[in-house]
Amino acid sequence: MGLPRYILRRLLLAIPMLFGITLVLFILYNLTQVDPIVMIVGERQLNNPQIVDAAREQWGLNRPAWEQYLTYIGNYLHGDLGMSFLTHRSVIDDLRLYLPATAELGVVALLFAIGIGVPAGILAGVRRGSLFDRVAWAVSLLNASLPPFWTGLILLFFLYYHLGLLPGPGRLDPRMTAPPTVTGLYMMDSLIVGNWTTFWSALRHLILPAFILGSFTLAIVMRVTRAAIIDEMHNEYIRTARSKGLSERKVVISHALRNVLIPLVTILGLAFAGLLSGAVMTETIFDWPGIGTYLVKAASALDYPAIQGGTLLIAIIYILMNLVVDVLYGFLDPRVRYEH
Amino acid sequence: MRKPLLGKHLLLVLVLFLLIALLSISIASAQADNSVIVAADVQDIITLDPARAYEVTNLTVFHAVYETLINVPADDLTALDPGLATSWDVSDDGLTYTFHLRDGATFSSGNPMTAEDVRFSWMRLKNIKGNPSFYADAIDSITVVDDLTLEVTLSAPTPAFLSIVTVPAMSVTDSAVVKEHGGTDAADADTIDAAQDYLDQNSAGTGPFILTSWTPNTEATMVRNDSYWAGPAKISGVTLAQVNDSTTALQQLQRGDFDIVDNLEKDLTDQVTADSNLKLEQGKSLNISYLAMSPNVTLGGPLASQAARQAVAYAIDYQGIADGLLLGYTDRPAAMLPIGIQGSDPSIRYERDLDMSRQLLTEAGMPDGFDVTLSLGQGGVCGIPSETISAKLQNDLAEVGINATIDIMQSSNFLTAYRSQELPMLLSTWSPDYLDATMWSDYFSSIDVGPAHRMMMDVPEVATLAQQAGAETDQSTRTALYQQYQQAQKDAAVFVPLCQNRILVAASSQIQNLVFHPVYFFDFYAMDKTSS
Repeated sequence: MGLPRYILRRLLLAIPMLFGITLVLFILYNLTQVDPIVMIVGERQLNNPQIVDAAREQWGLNRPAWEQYLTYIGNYLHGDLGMSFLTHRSVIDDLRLYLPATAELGVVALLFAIGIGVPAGILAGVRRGSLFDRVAWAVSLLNASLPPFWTGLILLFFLYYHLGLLPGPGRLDPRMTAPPTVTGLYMMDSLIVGNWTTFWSALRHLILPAFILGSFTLAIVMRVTRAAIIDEMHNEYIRTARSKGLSERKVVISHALRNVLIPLVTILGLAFAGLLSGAVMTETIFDWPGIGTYLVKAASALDYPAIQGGTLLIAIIYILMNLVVDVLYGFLDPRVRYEH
Repeated sequence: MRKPLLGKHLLLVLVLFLLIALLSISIASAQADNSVIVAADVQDIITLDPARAYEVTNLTVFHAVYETLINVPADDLTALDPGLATSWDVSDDGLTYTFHLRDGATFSSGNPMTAEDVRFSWMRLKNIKGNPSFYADAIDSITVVDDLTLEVTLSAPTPAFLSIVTVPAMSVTDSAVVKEHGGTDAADADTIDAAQDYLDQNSAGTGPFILTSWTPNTEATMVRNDSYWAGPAKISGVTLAQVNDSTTALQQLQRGDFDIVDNLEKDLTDQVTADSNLKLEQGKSLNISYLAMSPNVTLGGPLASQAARQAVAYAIDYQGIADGLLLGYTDRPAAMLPIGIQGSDPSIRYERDLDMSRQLLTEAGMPDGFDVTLSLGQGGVCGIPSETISAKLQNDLAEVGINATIDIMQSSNFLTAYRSQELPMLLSTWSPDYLDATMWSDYFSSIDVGPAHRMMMDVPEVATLAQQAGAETDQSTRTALYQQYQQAQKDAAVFVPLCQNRILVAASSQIQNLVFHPVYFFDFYAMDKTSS
C-alpha cells in the first residue's frame, strides 16, 4: 500500500540532493584554476595552437563555465556522464569496468564482517564479562585501530611472502587469464563457465584484502550486536520466553536476535556503502583495480568528468543503501509504517 | 545449564568461517609454458592503438607486437639499424626519403607487409590528429612506388626524420585488418576512425608477439607469434601486470609469481643483490631532470642576472644528489643534452664551487644572496620525493645566502602555472619522443617553443646555435655545433640538468638475455627463460 509511494517519494527527494552535489563539485573544480587542456593534449602538442584550439572546441572548454555546467547536467539527464579527460573513454564505461572489482571485494568483506561479527557479538553479549568477551573485544579493537596499509603489508609479508599460505596482491594468479566478463565479478564469472581453478584462485585472492577491508566493519558489527543483545536479554519478553521453557538457543535466536537486527541493519547499510567507496587504501596495497584507485587517479589528474561521475555513483549508492535500510525496518518491525 | 549448547553452535559457525578464511591449500598451477610475467606500471596505459597512444608503458607493448622501418640498437643510440626497411636513400635536398622494404615480412594475420601498409599506418597516424600525430607532421605526401618501395616527401628538410621513423607510433599496422575494424587514413580520420576498440584488445602487427588482451589498470597479455618472419621468439608469451608497490612486487618476484620487476625503487637494490636467485640490471634512461631559472626581468626577478643564475648553478651539490640521494644510480648529463645522444659532452657541466658562487653573487650586486621561490610538482624529481630534493636544494643554496621558498604543487596545477609563464624557478623532467638531439635543442633554446618559452628565455646565442645544429646534415659539423651549443647553454644557466636517471630492473636468474632498452625498455624477442 504505502510502500511503493514511499520509495518513489524518497527517490524524488534524492534528485535535488544529487543536483546540489554536482553544483558544489563544479564550483570547487573551477576554483582550482587548472586548465584541463594540460591533461587532454600531450605535452608536445601543447606547443601547437591549432591542436590546442581544436581540443578546446571538441571538449567544449572554450565555452563559459555556466554553459559547461548546463551541458553536463543535460547529459546526466540522458544518463551520459561524459568522457574522462584522462582515459578518453566514457566515464560510464570506466565505472562499469572498475565497479565489479570493488563490489566483489566489498561484498566478501561485508560477509566476512557479518559472518564473524554477529556470532561473536552474540556470544560476547550472552556471556558478558567472560574470557571470550574480553578477548573478542581486545582483538576487534586492535584490528580496527591498526591502519590497513600496515596490517595489509604485514599480513602479506607473513602469510604470502614467508609462509606462502595465501596468494599475493591482484585478483588472480599472474599466470591465469580472467574469466569471460559477464558480471565482472571473477568468482561469479568463473562459476558461470564452470572453471573451478579460476574460482578458487579468485576466492583465495579475496581473503586477505577482504579481511583488511572488513576489519573495521567487523569491529562495529560485533560491538553493536553485543550491546543490543545485552539490552534485549534484560527485557520482560525474554523472561517470559525462558519461563515457557524454551531452550536458551531458541530464546536468543528467535526472540532477542530479531530485535538486534534493527540496529544491525542500520549500520550494515552504511557500512556497505562505505566499503564500496572507501576501499582506496586496500585497493592500492593489493593492486586491486577498483573504483577507489580509479577515483584517486582521476582526482590527482583533476579529471573533472571522472571525479563528477564517481562522486555521483557513490552518492547514489549511499542514497540507495539508506532507502534499503528504511524499507527493511518495515519488515523487521511491524510498528513502522510508510505513510504520510 | 543454558550456556554450553548456545556456545557450541555459535562456536561452530565461528570456526567454520575461520576455516574458510584460512583454507589455503595451494593448487599447484604447474604450467608447461615459459611465458614471462613483468611487474610494470600498467595503469599508465590509456590505449594500445599506435596512432593514439602517447604514454610510456605502451611503448613496451608496441615494441613486442609491432615493428618500425628502422630500429635503434640498445647499445648505440646514435646508430640506425634496418627493421622492416632493409635500406633507405635520402635525396640531396633532404626532402625525399625512399625506403626499400623487407621481402617476406608478414603480419600475424598472414597478410604480407607491403608499402601500402606503411603508407596507411603513417597517414592514419597523421590524420587522427591525436597526441602522437606530431611525429608525422614533417610528412607532406607518401607514394607507394611498388609493393616494397615507399617514397616519402617532407614539407621541409628534417634531419631528424630517420630518428622519428624508429618511434613505436610509426609502427606498421596491417591495413586490411585495421580497415576491417573501422580504421581509416582519410583526412577526417579524427572523427570517423573507429579502430581503437579493436586495437586496444588485439594487435595488427608484424612483431614477434601478438596482443591477446588488455584489462585497464590490471594487465596486458601477449603470446608468441609462431610465424614471425625472423623465426619465433624463445619465450611463449609476456604478461605485463600492474604493481603499485615496489616492496610487494619484489616479494612476488622472490616467490616466483613474477619474473621481472620494472622500475625497482633504489633502496631495494640491496635485497636483490643479496638474493642469489635474482639479478639486478641498470638501464640508461634519457630523461633529464633539470632546474630552470627565468632570465626575464619581470618573471625571474633577481634571476634575470646571468651571474645570479650561475651563482645558483655553482651552489648546487650535484655529487651529493647523485651519491647521497640516488645511491649512485644516475648519470650526470651535460647542459641539456643527455649522455648517449649525438654531440653530448658530459664535461660541459657545472660542478659545485661555493667560492665561485659567492664571487658571482657579488658581481651580480647581491653579495648577501636573494629571495626566490622554487616550484615543483608532487610527483618527485629524479625519482626522489619532491620534499627531499627541494629540501636538499634549499640547503645548498642557503650556504651562499640564497633563500629559496619551496612550493610543492599538485601536478596539474604545476603544469598549468609553468605553461602560463608564472614560475621564476622550478624543477621538472624532460623525456624525449625520439632520439635526435633536436628533441632537446628545439625545446630548450628558443623563446617561441617549449620550456624555453615557458621560462621566457631570450638568449640569442643559444637559439642561433640550436637552429644551426638542428638543420646541419653533415654529421661531424653537427657534432661540433652541438659542442658549442652546450657551452652556450651552460653559460646562459637558464636550464641546469641535475640528473639522468638509471632505471633499475630486478629479474629472476632464470631470465636470460635481459637487455634494457632506453626507448622500448624491454626486448622480449631476444629474451629466454630457462627452467629452474
